[in-house]
This record gives sequence, C-alpha cells and structure tokens, in this order.
Amino acid sequence: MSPAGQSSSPKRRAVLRTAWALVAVAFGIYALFVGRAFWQGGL
Amino acid sequence: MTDTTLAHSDSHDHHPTGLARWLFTTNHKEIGTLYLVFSLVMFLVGGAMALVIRAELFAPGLHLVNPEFFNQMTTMHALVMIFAAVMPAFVGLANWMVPLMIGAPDMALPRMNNWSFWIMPFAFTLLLSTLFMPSGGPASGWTLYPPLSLQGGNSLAFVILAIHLMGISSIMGSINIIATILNMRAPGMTLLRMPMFVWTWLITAFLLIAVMPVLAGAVTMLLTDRFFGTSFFNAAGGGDPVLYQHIFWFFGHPEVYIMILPAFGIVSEIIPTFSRKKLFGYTSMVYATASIAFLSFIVWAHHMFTVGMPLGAALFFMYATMVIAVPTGVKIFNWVSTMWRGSMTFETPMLFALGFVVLFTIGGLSGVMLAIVPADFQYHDTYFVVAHFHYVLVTGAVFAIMASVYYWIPKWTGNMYNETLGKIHFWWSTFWVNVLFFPQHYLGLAGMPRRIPDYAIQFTEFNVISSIGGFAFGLGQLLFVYIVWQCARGGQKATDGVWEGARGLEWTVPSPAPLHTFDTPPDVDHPDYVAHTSGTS
Ligand code: HEM
Ligand SMILES: [Cu+2]
Repeated sequence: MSPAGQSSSPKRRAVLRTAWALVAVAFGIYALFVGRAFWQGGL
Repeated sequence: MTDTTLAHSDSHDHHPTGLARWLFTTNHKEIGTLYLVFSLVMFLVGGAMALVIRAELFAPGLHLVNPEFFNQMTTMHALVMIFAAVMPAFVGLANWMVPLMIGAPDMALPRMNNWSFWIMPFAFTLLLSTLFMPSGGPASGWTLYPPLSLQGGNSLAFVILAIHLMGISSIMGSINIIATILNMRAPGMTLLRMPMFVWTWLITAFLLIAVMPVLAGAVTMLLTDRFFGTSFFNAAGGGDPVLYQHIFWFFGHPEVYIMILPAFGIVSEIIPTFSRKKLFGYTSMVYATASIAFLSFIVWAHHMFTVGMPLGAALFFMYATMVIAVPTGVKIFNWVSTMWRGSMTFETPMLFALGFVVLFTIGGLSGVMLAIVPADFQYHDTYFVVAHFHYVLVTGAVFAIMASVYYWIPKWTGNMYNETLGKIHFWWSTFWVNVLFFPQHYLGLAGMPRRIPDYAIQFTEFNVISSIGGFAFGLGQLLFVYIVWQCARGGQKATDGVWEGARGLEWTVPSPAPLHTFDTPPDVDHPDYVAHTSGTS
C-alpha cells in the first residue's frame, strides 16, 4: 500500500481513488461476463 | 512542492545495482526500458516462429515440420506478437514518455508498475513452455475457438493461466496510465494541451480496462468447459460455440485498436517534428481517436459474418465497420495536411512514420473490402485476411514502434543512432515487407485458406515470393537490433532538443534523461515551455 506518511496527501488520495474505481470496473465487467453465466446455470 | 515526491518515495536515495536494480525498480524510465527490451526479445521469438511458417510454405509438399507443430506455430506466433511484442512495446513507450510529456515525476503507482512488468516474463515463460509439454502448445489459432481448442491436450490450462496473468498485467498497467494522466499533469497542462501520444494512450487504457476482463471471462469459460464439466460452448450439453465467438470478438476488435491507437499517437508526434509545423487539426484528432474507440465496440461481428446471422445484424455490422473509415480518414487527412507546405526532412523516424501513413492505409482499404458482407463470404479465412491484418499490424503498429524508437532513443541513451544504418533499415524493411505481404492478397483472392501447412500447386509462385520476402525482412530486423545496441553503447552525443522541430516537455530535459525528472513540476505557461506544448493553445 502507500508508503508511510504519504496516504494523507490529497494527490495521493486522488490517485488511489482513480485506481480503485478502475479496479472495480474491471472486476465488474469480468463478473458481468462470467459470474452471470455461472449464476444462470452454466454449471 | 512537497507532493511531487509522492510517486517515487523509496527510489530516491539508495540505488541498488545489478539484478536487484532491475528486479525492484519502481522508476518509470527503468520499467519502460524493461518493457522495451522484453518486447524486442519477444519480437525475435515470434519472428522465428513466423520463419518456421514461411519455410514450411516455401513450396508445396514440403514436410519440414509436422502439421501439428505448424498449427502450434501459427497460434503461438500470433499470441507472442500481439501480447508479448506489440502491446508491451507500447506500454514501455508509455512508461518512458507519458510522465516526461505531462511533466510528472513518475507514474502514479510505481510499485504496481514494477508488478505489471514482472508478471510478463513469467506469463510468457509459462506460455512458451507449453511447446515442450507432451501434448504440445495450443494449436487452434490465437482465437482459441471451441470446439477445436477443447480437443487438444492439458497444456490448455497453462495457456489460459498465461492469458490471465498477461491480462492482469495489462489492466494494472492501464490503471497506472489513467491514474497518471488524470492526476499527475503539471500545472497548466490541461487535457487539451496534452501531446497526442498521451491522448491516444489515455483512450487505449480505457479500452484495455473494458475488454481484458471480457477476454478473461471467455477463457475462464473455456477452462471450465475443458476441465470442470461445464457446457458454455458445448452444443451437446446445451451450450453454443458461437457464443464464444461473440464474446471473443467483443474483446478482439477493440484489441486490434489497442494495437493501433498508440501508433496513431506516435505518428502524430513525429510528423509535426519533421514538418516543422504544429499538428494540423489537433482537436479533431482527439475526437477522431475517441470515436474510433467508441465504434470499436459495435463492430465485432464483422469477424463472424460467415457463421450466419440475421440480415439486419449483418447490415448493421457492415455499416458500423465502414463508419470507422470516417474518423480514420480524418486522421490521415490531418497527417497529410500537417506536412503540406512544411519544411520537411526525412530522418529515419520520419521515414517510418511516412511508411506507416502509406502502408497502413493499404491495410485500412483491404479492411473495408472485408467489411462488405458478400465479399467477406469469399475472403473470410483466406490469405486475404492475413494480408489485411499484417499491413495494419506490421507496416502499421510495428513501423510506428520502429519510428518511435528512432525518434526517442537519443533521449533515452544520450546518443544519436547511426542515421545511415537507420535509413538502410527503413528501405530494406519497406521493400521486403511488401514482397512478403502483398502477394498474400492474391493468394487469398485465389482461395488459399489461412492456417494450413500445405497447399495446392497453383498457389506456388506467390508463396515462394512471400517466403523470400519473409526471410529478407526478418534478416533486416537483425540490423535494427544492431543499431539499437550500438546506440546504447555510444555514438555522437545527442543535444537536449535532439530534433530541430521537436516540441514537447520531453525535449526540455537533458539527454540522456536523468533517472529523476520534473521533481519540481514545470510551469507549462512559462515562456520557456509554451513553445514546447502542443495542443490547442
Ligand atoms: C479501416 C479499418 C478496418 C476495417 C474496416 C477492418 C475490417 C476487418 C474485417 C471485416 C475483418 C474480418 C475478416 C475476416 O475474418 O473475414 C478484419 C480482420 C482483422 N483485422 Fe481489420 N479492419 C480494420 C482495421 C484494422 C486494424 C487497425 C487492425 C489492427 C491494428 C486490424 C486487425 C485485424 C486482424 C488481426 C484481423 C484478423 C483477426 C483474425 O481472424 O485472426 N484491422 N478486419
Ligand atoms: Cu475487427
């Protein structure tokens, strides 16, 4: 995670917010394609 | 200025040397170099596979390798070139140049950057190792269509793991690039002042985040179909193999644009420099790039016209595909207009950029031919398609990568490359690449299928020509390796500006660029820098 003493910088927080939002998008799309397929009875 | 240290906190004071330096580096320039070297090595590996293919096809009836291995070569050649050569080259260029171009001290997430790179050698060692497994490597083509891809050996599991790893690396790299561009720009570097290379990469990174998870979903379902008894793509179990094609190409078509948008960015940097003019139509370039990215999501089924679809669907995908020619045409128009009445010179980067404009356009035109549904029924799965995508990818993406290396290597190494050898490399490559790929159009029109280890004798002549072109083109790339190696070792010292007409913040730092640049953000509105910003202002 972010090095000590830096997580408080507003710029650092903006970077992390962007990054986590994009991680959520990526997982969301994966889940949409594959999670949903399993849910609907692929197994 | 306190916040400028945030991005490379731990790399400032101590500097490990040797292997540790490269293993643990969080510096964007060192990571950029790692990506570029990895990519160059993989170009040679993928190139060797291509030469196996061209050797087998040199004449009908040859049996240099057995057909099963031939199929592994066509599959692996594509996977290596796409995922281990072209994409990492662009990521390496982004690492090196994006922070320098927007006045940032480093990438936003330097430690993740280290991971993004170091996953790649593992992923591709794993992928290549399947060639030595009892069942051999994947042999169903890079698209891994079921049911064929499910009928091979267990090595498929390793291929799928490698694809997942590579996808994770790409997603992390893209997150880093987006976070950097959105949060780390120097004061005054507004979005519409960013260099085109930065713009094209920003849009490419969004494409990657949108479609790499789709590819991951597709291959996960392949994995469970093959090893865990699901039937997503198995008709006997109530599934549908065509579903795979839809999912794959929903990833696959944006993927081809992932491999060309950064190339557009590079060419948009180089042509203004050597025309000594500002880029013509900067804003329209930005909008054209965004339009191409958007349209790339609604054309996927042009890869599967022949599986059959309702007439309305075929028409939709045909017209949507043709519409992409409009923003692409805008770009070509703007490049030509930038050159118009410029004082042009023809150093190697410019030669490769011009080669790109002409030869990429040939690939674009054959693409429009392929988009015509009834024509595609004839061309699909023939060498015409092979000719099309090699024009857009070799004389397109790869030529742009070559151009960018010649353009920026003086900034990376502090030395000029050997201009005479660079020009020889350009003319040699341009001549032979056409000998290699142009005849493949005729082979396709005459009906020669792609991905076959042998062919009927009426295809002999064009195959001989193509193979000769392939070997000569391949030989020429050894010259490129030599030029890069020579330039890294020494040579005439480069000035900071390097090129007379070059604009952009990257040219305001010394050559070679020191490990740390823009620790204090440049004031882009300062008169010293204004002349160096492209864009609208
Ligand atoms: C004017 C723009 C373009 C058009 C209209 C176009 C159209 C097409 C069509 C219709 C196909 C399917 C042919 C078939 O399988 O029957 C195709 C295949 C392909 N295109 Fe393009 N294309 C364009 C640009 C590009 C670009 C820029 C790239 C990559 C840089 C690219 C890479 C590919 C690849 C790799 C394939 C073959 C995929 C495969 O089956 O393995 N194309 N293109
Ligand atoms: Cu496509």
